[in-house]
Amino acid sequence: METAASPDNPIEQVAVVSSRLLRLLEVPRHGSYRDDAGDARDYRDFVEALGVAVYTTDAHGVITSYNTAAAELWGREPEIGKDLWCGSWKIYHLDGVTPMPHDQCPMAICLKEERPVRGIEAIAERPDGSRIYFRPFPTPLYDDVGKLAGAVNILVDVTESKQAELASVHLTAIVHSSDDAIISKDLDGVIQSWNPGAERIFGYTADEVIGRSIRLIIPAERQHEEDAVLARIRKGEYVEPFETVRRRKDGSEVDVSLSVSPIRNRAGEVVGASKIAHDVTERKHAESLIRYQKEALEMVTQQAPLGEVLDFMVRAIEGHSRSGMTAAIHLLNAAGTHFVSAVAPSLPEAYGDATEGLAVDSRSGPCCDAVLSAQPVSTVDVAQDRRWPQFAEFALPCGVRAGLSVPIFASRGDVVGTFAIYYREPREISPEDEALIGVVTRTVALAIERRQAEEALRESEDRFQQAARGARLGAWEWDLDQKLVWTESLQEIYGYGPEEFPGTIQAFTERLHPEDRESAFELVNRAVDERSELDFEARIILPSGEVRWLQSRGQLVFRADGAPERMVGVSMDITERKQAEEAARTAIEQSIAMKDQFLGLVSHELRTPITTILGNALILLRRNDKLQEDTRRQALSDVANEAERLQRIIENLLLLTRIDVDEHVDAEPLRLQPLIAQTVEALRLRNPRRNVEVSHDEELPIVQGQSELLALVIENLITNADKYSPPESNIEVLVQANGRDDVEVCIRDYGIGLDESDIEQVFTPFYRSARAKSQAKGIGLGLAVCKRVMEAQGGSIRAVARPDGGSDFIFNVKRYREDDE
Amino acid sequence: VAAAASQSPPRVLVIDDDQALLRMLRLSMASEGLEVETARDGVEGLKRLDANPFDVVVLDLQMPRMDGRTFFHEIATRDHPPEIVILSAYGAEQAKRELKVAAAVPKPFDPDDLIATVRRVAARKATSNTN
Repeated sequence: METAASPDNPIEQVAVVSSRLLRLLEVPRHGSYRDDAGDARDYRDFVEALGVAVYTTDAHGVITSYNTAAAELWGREPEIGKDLWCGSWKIYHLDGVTPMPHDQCPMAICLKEERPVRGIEAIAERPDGSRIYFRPFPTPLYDDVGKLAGAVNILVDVTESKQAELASVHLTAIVHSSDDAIISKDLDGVIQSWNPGAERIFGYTADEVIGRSIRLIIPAERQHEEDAVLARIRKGEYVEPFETVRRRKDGSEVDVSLSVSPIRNRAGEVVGASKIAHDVTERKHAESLIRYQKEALEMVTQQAPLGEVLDFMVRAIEGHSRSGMTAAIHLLNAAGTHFVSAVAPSLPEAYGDATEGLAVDSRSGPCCDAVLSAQPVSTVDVAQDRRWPQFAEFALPCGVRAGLSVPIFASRGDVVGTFAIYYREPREISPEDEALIGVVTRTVALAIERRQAEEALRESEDRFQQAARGARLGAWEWDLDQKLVWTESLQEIYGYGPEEFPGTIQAFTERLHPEDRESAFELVNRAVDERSELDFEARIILPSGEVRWLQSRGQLVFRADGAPERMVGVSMDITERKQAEEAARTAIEQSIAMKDQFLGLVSHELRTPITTILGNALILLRRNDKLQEDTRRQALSDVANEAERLQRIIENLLLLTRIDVDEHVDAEPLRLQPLIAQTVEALRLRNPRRNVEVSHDEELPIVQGQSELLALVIENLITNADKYSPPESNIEVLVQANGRDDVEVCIRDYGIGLDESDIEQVFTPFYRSARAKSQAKGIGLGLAVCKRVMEAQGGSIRAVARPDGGSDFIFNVKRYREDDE
Repeated sequence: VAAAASQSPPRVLVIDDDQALLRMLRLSMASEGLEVETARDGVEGLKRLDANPFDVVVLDLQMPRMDGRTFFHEIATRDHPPEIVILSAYGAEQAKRELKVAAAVPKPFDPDDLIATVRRVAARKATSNTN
């Protein structure tokens, strides 16, 4: 601010006029003017009327007068005739810190040096602490003889202009030091000012651009933005910050955030615009990295194959890096001993070929070292690096000259792979790339780990599914309304193909057997109402028409407020169990029926001979003397035969219950011919009309068995043949050696014969063929006993239905061998 | 009436598949003065009935070819069917109730008891016929 003592300065004029006036008014030499003098009063009125602070001192600096404005400026009323130099409480230099002693203030200088002092400004501090910037105009006063009489000082309050000046200085400093570009332009877009920030961001110096159009830094395709901006500015509107692209001097583009405000003159007219451009390149850069990571994580969430996710990450950071590096991700096997796959889309195939399947060995390369040390490993020049002699061999042709390998850690802390960045030329690792890889590696680790967890889960689910399929078991979840979720295995049980089950309760109902629907729903509703466990069995009908039994168990799941929310459970195909139960029930029923039948048969078979024996015995007792001799003999003979018959039946029954299927009886060497002969003779006695023919090899080997048992078999078979063939037909007994081990006995009749179905069952206890039932009485015990007896002796028995009618019952007996004993 | 019945001995047909039993029954009944014929199954029994009238048939239930029940139903529709006395080793009483026959005798039995039963049944039949 100009402070020169120019005669044009109105304050200066006031000072001069005032000093002259004082002189004219004959200011008393001793520094006080006469208060009774009318002139003095006139002066005081004049000074008060001036409105500026005025005071006077005598030649020694003692304040002799001051006006109201001066007292206001000082914030105090100094003591006339006592206070020296200045009425201020405290005075500071303009820096606001250095105190200015009163005896060095401009007034003091003026008196001591007897000259007007101009151009010094100072700060007066009031007792209340407030400060006033003031400019003093101290002027010496002389008496008539020209001797210094004192001085008059006019203090001009410059606080407001001083503050404005300071603000302007600050503003300039701010504009100058701002990182942002601050540019002003006129309404035609001509650049008026250009700060160093603008120089830095756009590359032009102020000299180069001031006076040129702002359109210089606007890319062709964004020129319309300036039209819009200027249109708004002309209307006096502020342009909200917007992000755009501007062009640097070197032609490259820079992302900026712009805000533009109108500049007005004192009259308030818009005369131009100030524009602040903030460089958002770094922020955009950082944002794009976040975006890549977000995208990668989304891919992971959407279960994209891991290879795709990693490929995306590698390409993303290659695009993101400003160093032109290439990147690669290597995955380790579970044991951490080998690299199993490499994702390196920008590197030659040879790189992947060389690294896939590579054993982790400290001499192989930086990635191996990174795995082994669990630390980042870098090299500034592969060609010069002595650590990995073989690495350079394949790395250099792949364009790998320098690089950094960072281990990828799973959350448990083990290394699951490495992330590598490479440069084509020898160089230090870019700190930006290093930071980048640090950030991205965490995302990659997450992707890998998530995938591994998913695979593990899928495997365990697969195993469960397989187990569930094997067990014909499936799980379900019902929302207590219409929605039903079934596991795949359950859908299979219900006969739904993949994707066929619509997931509704309706679909379940449709498959239910109509007879079971009502009871099933009653049970389900009861479980929900009573909050009890659900357990029911119901039939379902598959699309093929097949009916299957399912057992379902379910349990309610409750919400936090205690209300039932859904029901979860399992269903199991129990068809086989049901069938087994059914079969068991049938078997039991049959065995009960068989027992009744057995009792009936046994009673009949036992009681009939007893009746004959008892009846004959009673007749002989009571009427012996009246009977004819031959009648008596017949009766006695019947008694004997029937007693034998009883004996045979009892023997068979006992044998059947005594000999189990797997039981073996002691065998002894014996000959078959006598046994056969005895049995045939016994039959001849019982039924003299029956013709039995026995034929056998001349030399029959000795067999091993128990004679009583074999006799029973022969007797049973011959008795059967007698029972089930016409009285006049022959019975043949054929005995021959069968191979080296056996002797075969065939009892042949020409009787009722056997059906194919009989062959199967004829040896089952109590089984009697339809033909046999119509032919003769019996309990179906004989053949069953034969079979057990033969098997217990290590032999066998079978039945053959001959085409000419009649049956062959053939049993094999083991030949006797001495070494068997 | 009772005198008339005693004047002509009851004619009895015994049907059983057991030869020895038949011999024993024929012997005991004949020695007590009954007129006895025997048959070995239902088929043979029907032939005998066709040939001669009988007052009482002593019928075994379990027989081959035609069993006692079938035989019973065969003769039930005839005019003046004979009275039936069932012989059975198992379930004689039940069969009596079921078939509503005159009497049932479980095996084994004292032949004199059977003869007494046959006489009683024959006498009742004679009475009902005369009335």
